[in-house]
Order: sequence, then structure tokens, then C-alpha cells
Amino acid sequence: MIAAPFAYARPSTHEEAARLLAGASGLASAIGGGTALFPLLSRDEQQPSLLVDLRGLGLEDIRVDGEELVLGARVTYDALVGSEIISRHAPLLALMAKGVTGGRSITGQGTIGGSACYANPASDVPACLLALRARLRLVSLRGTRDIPASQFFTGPYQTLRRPDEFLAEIRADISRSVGAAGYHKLKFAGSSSPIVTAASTLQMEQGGIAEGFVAIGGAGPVPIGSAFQVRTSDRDSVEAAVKAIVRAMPAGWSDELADGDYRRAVAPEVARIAIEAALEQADG
Amino acid sequence: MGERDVTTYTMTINGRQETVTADPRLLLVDVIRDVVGLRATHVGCLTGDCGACTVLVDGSIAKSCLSLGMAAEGRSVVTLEGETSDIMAALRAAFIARNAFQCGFCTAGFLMVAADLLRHEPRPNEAAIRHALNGNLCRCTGYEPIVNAIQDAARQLQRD
Repeated sequence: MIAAPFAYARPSTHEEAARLLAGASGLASAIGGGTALFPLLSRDEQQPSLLVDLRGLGLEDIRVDGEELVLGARVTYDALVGSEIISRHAPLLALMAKGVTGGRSITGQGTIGGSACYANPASDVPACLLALRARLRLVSLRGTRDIPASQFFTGPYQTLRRPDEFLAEIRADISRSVGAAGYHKLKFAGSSSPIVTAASTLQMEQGGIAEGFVAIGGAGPVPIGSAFQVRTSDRDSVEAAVKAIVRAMPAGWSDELADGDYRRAVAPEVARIAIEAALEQADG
Repeated sequence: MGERDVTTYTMTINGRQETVTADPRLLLVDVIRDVVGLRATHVGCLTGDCGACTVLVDGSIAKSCLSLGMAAEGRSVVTLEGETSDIMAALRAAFIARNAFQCGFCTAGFLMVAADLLRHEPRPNEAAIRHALNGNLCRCTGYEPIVNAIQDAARQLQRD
């Protein structure tokens, strides 16, 4: 049983959810899939006065809206793996979701929006959203705003989401999410958290040049990313691209599994493997 | 909200309508065990790691320590006690034949996950079995007999 008392609400409209959050003086927590929130509540590490269950808002859709891919905040990892739209328009997300451990009881319950809002530096989602240059759509009584993934994550477990806002959708330009993708993560054991993750997207251009973007998670307090160009005939250019990205990396982030120096030291190799995987896919 | 507050809601557990009047802070696993009195579903870690509390909610496999009891209002929950399928019968027999448990604390969770796997994928290879089990912890067997038991059950079900 959870120690601290709370009220529970399951709104059925965006407006009702926004009103509940606005009335909670910043002390509400939204329930996405619950896989991150309930362990915190059971350990009494957080004492929200109100739990707003987003299950009734219909945030489980994966769809294409013009030139944009739109993911509801409550899309689960299993839904990403099983989606035709994702495999066609955002293969990176399918690669990422396939590698999430914990069995179907976790991958069918954990959500992409929940992971984004929790902003654990070591989790898979933040760097992938950065690699897709996705936008996160926040809703409150004050209106709707779209925040680029490059600004959304502000620190470990911290985002630009205000307490009266909930994440409704994640949007990405299909022109940036299609094409080849590579994903790699370093883990110490099958079911442990990743140490460093790297997500790469790649679009082939004329003349054997590929335009790519790589995002690295877990190496610092927030995911970092960079565009790069590689010549597909010259894999040394991958090395050069990775070095440039790592030079720009902010100070490391430490937790009980690995310290910041270690994370920074392994990040270039993890990124290189992700980029190579994307190049292999582009070739194939 | 005072400590004596209770809330009332209904859900279906193992095909039976249950009206729960209980503290709103109860997790689904607390409701299953302490309100309804079904004790096959265990509380292990309360962090979503061990899988001892695994049940089906509206047909989807879920860890019942990761949701509230009252969030299951109007939903259908199936625990090991309510799993009467041929798949579960074959798994039970195979787990016994292979000594796929020792203390038994994790067993209900493994059976629930294994049944879910075989429903979706009747002929899984070893890698698929191990992948399906990676949200469940066993500290006795070393997993080998559990994997073998699931392979045996899958083969048995193919023969039947």
C-alpha cells in the first residue's frame, strides 16, 4: 500500500485533465503507464496530493498528420514494435522499443510519453526523441505549446513541463524520422538500466554522402545530439563525426551504476556503433 | 483526506464481479491478495522488477504492483487461480516435471508470463522464451529448468 494519502481522478477530456492539474497547486502527478511512478510512491519518495490518470484521454494513437508523425503520449513500447506506421516512418523507435527489457508486462505498460516526462538520463526514450528532433506537445488551461526535444530535457529527471501541464502528443517531421536508423546501448546486464545509449538517423544524399543525426543518452545530465555528414565510402569520416560530437558533450552524469567519467569515456564507441548500424542499413 | 477513508468500486476478478470497499491507496496487488483473498499473486519488490505480482488486466499481462486497485475499476483481472486454460495445465505439469521452482515464490509470475507467451507465440525458440522471461526474477533455479519446462509445455501442446 502507498503510505501517503492522495486523491485519484480519471478525466475523460483534455480540458478536465488540465483543470485538475491547475487546481492541485503543483502537487499533482500524472499517471502514464505507471512503471516509473508507482515504485516512487511505494517507496514514499514522492507524495503527490492528486494522481491524474491519463488513461481516459485517448492518447494511445500512432498516426500520420500531413508531413508529421504523431504519437500519443500513452503509446507503449509494445505498440511501437507492432506498428506498421512506425516501421515505415520511424524505424528508430521500433529498434529502440525492441531492446527494452522487463518482459511484455513492462513493455506493454510503460509509455513513450511517461519515459519522456520522467527524464531518467539512462532511459531509452530521451535520446531517441532528440535524434528524431521531435516536439513535445504540452497541454494546460493556458493553452498548448510544442517544445523541441533539444530544449525539453533540462536535467536529470527534470523537464520544461510545468506542474499544471500534461504531455499529450509527441510529433516528428517524417522527413527526419524515415530512412536508415541505428540504435545501440551499453548495459552491464540483460535487465539492468542502460549506461549509455546512442540513436542515429541517416538520410542518403547524392554522391555517396549521408546526412545523419546522432543523439547520445546517459553520458550527461541530458541527451545531446549533433548533425553530421559522412561519406559512405570512407568510414573514417564516422570517426571524425563522433569525435566532434563528444568534444561538445557537457559534464557527465553519475549514478550508482557508473560515474560521469566512465559514461563519457564509453560514449564515443556506443555512438560509433549506432552510426555504423545506420550506415549498414542504408547500404543494405 | 483522513486515514480511514475508503472508496468503493467494482471489477471482475477471475470472471467474478467483485465490489471492493477499501483504502484508495491500495495497489492492485493489495486488492487481489488482501481484499479478495487470492494469494497466488505475490508481492516481491514493489518496483516492477521481479514479476511475482504478474496478472492479466483486460487480457494484457501486467505487473499488479504498478497500478492502483481503483484504476482497475470496470476492468477484468485474471490471476493464476483463474487461469484454467490447456496452456496453463501443460505449463503446470511441465514445471513440476522439470523442477522449475524451489521456494515457489516467483512461480505464479513465471506461469502467467509463460502462458501469455504461448498464447501469442505457440512455438517460441529459446531466445524468445528468455526474452519473455526477462521481467521475472527467480533466485533458486538459475532459470534453466524454467526455460526447459516452457519448451516442454510448448511441445506437449503441439502434440495435443
